[in-house]
Amino acid sequence: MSGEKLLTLWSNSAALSAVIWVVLLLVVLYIARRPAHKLLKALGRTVYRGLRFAARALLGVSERLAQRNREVMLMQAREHQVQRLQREFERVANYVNRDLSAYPALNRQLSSVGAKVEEDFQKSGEVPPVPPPWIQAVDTIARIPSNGDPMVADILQNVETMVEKTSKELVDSYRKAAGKRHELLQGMLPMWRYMNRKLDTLEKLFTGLGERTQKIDNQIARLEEIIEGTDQVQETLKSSAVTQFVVAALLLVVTTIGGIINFNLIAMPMSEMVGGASYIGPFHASDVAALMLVAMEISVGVFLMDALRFTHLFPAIGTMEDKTRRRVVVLMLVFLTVLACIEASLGFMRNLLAADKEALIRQLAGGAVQSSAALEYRWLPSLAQMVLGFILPFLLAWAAIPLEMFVHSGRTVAGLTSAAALRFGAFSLRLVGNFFDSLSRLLVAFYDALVSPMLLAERWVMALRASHATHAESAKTKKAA
Amino acid sequence: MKRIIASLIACALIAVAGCTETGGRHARAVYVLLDVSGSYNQKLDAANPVINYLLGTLVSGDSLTVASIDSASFTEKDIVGKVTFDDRPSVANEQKRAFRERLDGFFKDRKPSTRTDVSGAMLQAAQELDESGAGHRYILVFSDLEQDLPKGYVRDSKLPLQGADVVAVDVTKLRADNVNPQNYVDRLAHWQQVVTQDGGKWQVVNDMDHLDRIIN
Repeated sequence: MSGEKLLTLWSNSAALSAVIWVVLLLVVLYIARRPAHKLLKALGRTVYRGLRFAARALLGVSERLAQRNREVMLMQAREHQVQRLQREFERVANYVNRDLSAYPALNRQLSSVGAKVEEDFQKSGEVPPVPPPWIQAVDTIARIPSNGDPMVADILQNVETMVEKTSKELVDSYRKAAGKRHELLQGMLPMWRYMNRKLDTLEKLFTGLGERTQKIDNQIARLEEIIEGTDQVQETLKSSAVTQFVVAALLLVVTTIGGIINFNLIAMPMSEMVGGASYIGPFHASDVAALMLVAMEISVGVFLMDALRFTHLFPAIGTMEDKTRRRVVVLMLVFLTVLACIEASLGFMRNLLAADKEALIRQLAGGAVQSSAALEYRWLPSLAQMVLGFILPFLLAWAAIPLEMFVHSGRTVAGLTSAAALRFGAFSLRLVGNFFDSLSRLLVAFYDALVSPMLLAERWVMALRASHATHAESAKTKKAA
Repeated sequence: MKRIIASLIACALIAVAGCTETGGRHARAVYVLLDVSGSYNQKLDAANPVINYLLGTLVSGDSLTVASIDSASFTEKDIVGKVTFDDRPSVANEQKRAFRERLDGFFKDRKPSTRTDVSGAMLQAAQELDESGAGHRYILVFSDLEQDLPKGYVRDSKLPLQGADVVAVDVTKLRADNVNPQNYVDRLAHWQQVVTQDGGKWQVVNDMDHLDRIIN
């Protein structure tokens, strides 16, 4: 039945028919008012509860994820801290082995020098020879007046001469002894200096050791904080992870650009090696080979950095015996050098091919022969490309460090982002749930607004009935009276 | 365990080798037809820049054939030069130089023909390209496209042009076309119909500044 027929179902006048339809509709709506209210409210509540339940579930997942992130973050931080501590202990061990291993020998040297100094000091302290006790008596005799007796005068003269001679001998002997003491003291000077120097060195050694110990104390304190997992530590770790992630991402972008430059440098000459007409799937075999070469350089770089213990992407390499690890380092360095040499030669070949192609194009265009100046300086780009080809693999090898940073910090950042997204999802679900709840109330009010004429009529009928009932009651009362 | 690893490596190598293909669907094959009939012979030098462009553009694995259109062109004898460029770019460049020298000789010593067998030349080109198995096939025709077959020659065969691009380059106008341009329009329409009917793609390029539009 078409709309037009429906409209004129009750009367030929469309307006009248429409009015009848509206009245009918209002009646139907009025009759169905209570069940419709119930339905709308139930729908609203169902959607609201369902979404709230989903939001709660999401929040639960988010909390579990956040907890897991916390655990992972703290575990990573603990591992890093333990590694740092290990490194610090290794440094102290190296320090002790290298510098303090010589301490017993130094101690012996210092003891022997000390003994020698003591001995010399004792020697320098020896009492100089004293004048014999009789000399004073002889001196007194020599001062006795001769009273003009030439014989007595002669004897006294001899006695005086003898006293003077003995005094002179005594002074000489004293001077000699003093000179010897000075010599001994002079000889002690370099020993004192030597001892001073050695003691200074020892002081420095012990100061350095003290500083290292202080550092270890700090590291242990930090480790304890991490193990406790305080909020402050967690916040610090989070912000540190985000910073590391951003820095690592930037460095990886730079490395990727370097890789692309490297790829472009070797892709063209690679066609001379693997053929320019070969394809692997939709790609040029030379492009794939160049890409593989770059990938190999990065892989070798990753292994090298792991073997050097700069990174820990492959625990199997890091935990190797030192001897084996050193062999791996040498092997990877050899590989890297070989790859760099291959790239340098490809860089050289690139320039040759470019020159050949340029010459061909010129020849085909019937152009003039290139000027000698241009030919003279052609070695410059060749050299630049060779150097670039040689250096880039070594630079790409360092990509392992930002890569590790990116992977480790990425895990934390991804966890944080996911938890935040889940929380946002839960919030959105609650919001939508509330919206549906409010919408159901709104629809109920709208429904009532639609059937308001019927409601007014109902109210009027009710009022009328109430008034009739009141009249009837009053009539009964009057009759009874 | 070692055997398993060795087998896996061997399988991977075989798979990679199996994926590797030379030329084939990636290669381009270009067949250039040069009309040496009296009506076009004088203007044939216009083909040189296009051939040079092709020599500069085509790479290892691609092939280039240059043939002339004369009185009876459904024959290999009309092929001036044919080359498939080597895998190594340096060798390919040498091939290009040699090919150019050969073409220079042809351009120098060419003799005009009395008749024009465009259909025969097209059939020859289409068959050659079809056999080449190249993924991208082009026929470049330097001609006024005015067919003038010797008596008794029949050229009703279907051209195997499925997937090929036929490009009419620098289609010159004849004296009669100036009198009635409809002749020129009809001639182009006729060849377009022939080419498209047989599965080819038709294109007319008269502007030499847009050579890059010819070959992808």
